[in-house]
Amino acid sequence: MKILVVDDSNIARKMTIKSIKEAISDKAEIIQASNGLEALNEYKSSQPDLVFMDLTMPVMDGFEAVEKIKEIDKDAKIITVSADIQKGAVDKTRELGVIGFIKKPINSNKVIEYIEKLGLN
Amino acid sequence: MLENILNEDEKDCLQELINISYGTASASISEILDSFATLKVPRIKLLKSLQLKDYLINNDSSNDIQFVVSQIIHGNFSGENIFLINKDSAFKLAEILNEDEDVNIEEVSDVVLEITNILSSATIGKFSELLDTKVSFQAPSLEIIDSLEDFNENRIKDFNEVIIISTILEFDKLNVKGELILLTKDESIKKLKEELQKILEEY
Amino acid sequence: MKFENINILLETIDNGIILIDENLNILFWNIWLETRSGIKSNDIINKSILEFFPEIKENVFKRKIKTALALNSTAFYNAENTKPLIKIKQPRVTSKFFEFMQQSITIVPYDQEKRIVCLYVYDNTRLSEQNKRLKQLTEELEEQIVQNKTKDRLMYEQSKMAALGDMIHNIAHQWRQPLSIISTTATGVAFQKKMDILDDSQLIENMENINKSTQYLSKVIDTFRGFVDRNKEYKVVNISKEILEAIDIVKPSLMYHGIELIEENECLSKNYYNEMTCHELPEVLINLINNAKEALTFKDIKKPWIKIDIIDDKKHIFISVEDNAGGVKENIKDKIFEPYFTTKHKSKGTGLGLHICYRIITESLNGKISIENTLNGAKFTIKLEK
Repeated sequence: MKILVVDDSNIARKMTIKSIKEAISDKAEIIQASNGLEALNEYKSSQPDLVFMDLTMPVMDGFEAVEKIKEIDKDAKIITVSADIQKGAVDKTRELGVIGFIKKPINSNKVIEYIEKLGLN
Repeated sequence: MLENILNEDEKDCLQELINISYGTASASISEILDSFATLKVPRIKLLKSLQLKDYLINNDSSNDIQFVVSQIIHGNFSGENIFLINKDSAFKLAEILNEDEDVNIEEVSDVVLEITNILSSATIGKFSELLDTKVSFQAPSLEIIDSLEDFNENRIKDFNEVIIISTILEFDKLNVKGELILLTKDESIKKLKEELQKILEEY
Repeated sequence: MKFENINILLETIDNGIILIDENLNILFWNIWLETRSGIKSNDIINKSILEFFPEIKENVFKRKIKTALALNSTAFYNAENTKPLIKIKQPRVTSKFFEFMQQSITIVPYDQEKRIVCLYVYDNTRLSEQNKRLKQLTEELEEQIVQNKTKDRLMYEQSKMAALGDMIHNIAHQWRQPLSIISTTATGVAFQKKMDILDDSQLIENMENINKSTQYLSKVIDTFRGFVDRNKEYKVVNISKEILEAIDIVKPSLMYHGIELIEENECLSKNYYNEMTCHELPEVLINLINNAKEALTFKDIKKPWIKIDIIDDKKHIFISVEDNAGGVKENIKDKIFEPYFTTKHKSKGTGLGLHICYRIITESLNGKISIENTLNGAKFTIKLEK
């Protein structure tokens, strides 16, 4: 299994990766990207099974990245992870077709929940 | 320079924690106030305290009467929150929150103090939770000044260098805007550095 | 150590303690509140606080409770607001400003699940009163300052006018004679020509006289220009020269009134140097001499004189102006430098002269001025640091 983790903050990526590892130990290969553009490129080249996407990033933000990824793969499985939990943000991501929204700081239980729901384990 | 006080990783960690704290705070604030309020993505800056006044003046073009609220934070993480809002916004805010078209200056003062307390508790409360440290807040106090030119620099003379975390509180479609500034000083910055290191070591 | 009588703390604490839920129903009301509000705990428990205190703004209160619970943090009622949450009448008759107890209130979460908060009520009436009194005092002081500034400005304007008036008087006085000479001489020459008795040498002599007079007229103007220009340079000046400037101006007037000007120890021919603003000293001297002159003429003193003296004791320079007009009454002596103080008739003076002298000496020249009675009359002494 391949998982793509996208966030402009180093520590945020590390936190997300740690939660993922707590959930499924080393059963997945983790790929990282630090903005939406990199995420798009990585998605094309590595074709991950699951994406954890932060929303506020420079160059290309999470919303745009989700949109673009969905354009090349309408079945892409994307979970947004964000500090911005305003209702507007959540609704917008839902419209874009994400399968989940996790509030920062992320914890491994939520990750487990989604992975089981998706039947990826 | 911030770079000399905090290294790249620490800065990154601080920014992330602040984003999380202020992001969560936004939601709490909307819930409490029954209205849609957003906190803009917080910006972090390091300044010498004497530069604060210039920084404020540069950020606000209005020469309007300003409500300046200060709230002191005690604890392992200590500092001061300053909330700035001009007279027009303050009055509009009070009218909305008190559901009263005719508010007097005492009522507006009360509302501005209350908002500051809510902002402080929401943002710093969450922040201290993430740092696993306890804080407590003093009752906020208000000063009304004719314009930012009158901002009293003596109040912050105890601060040598300050980390400024500023964000704008905006009420959607209502043209109500206020700025929240967190000041933290020398010793507290040192303690902050230690806490950030602790967190970085976990990952 | 087990705390078994912890209730004693609730009963004896000098604060009000209320437990209240998010619907504003009271669950605890301590003794402090019972005694002050007159409401018994049994009567208010499980009832809404609004039943007993209907003026409380419901939405604001509920919002603060929500804040405390949602953020697990403290909420406050502004201590400086004069409208207290719990209206309690002040029993003290001596309370000047407030009819009701002034309060400072903090709200802290007590039970998150049951949505209950705890309210602490602090009586800060005394502090509020002190603050109010202080505020009043500050306002009064500020008003005073503004008033004083206005008065000051007025005085300054008046003194300028008065000084100008004095100048013009002096100029007029000094011009009278020369003008008269010019007039007489010109008329005389015209008459002699008409009568055909004018010869060339007479004509030339008379024209020269007229010229001399006009030159004198011109010189008088020049002397005054030095003052009016107000070129207030700060430099080393020769004190005797400055005094002589003053004397130049008042001398004609003194001579007219028959007042002898005595120079003690030939002080005016000696040189005394000091650093100061130009032209300030002459202004003071003119004033002092004019005062003396008026006293002498008013009292119609026979053989009136004014004596000027300069003494240098290495540390200070003393300049004195003495007259023989009989002196000043004791009860007037301390008031003499006060503004608007005058013994003259309203039309004759503004009473500003000596006050302005006082101000110039003490503020501008950093010196002291004093008055004493001597055997003959009054003596004003100016003391300057070197």
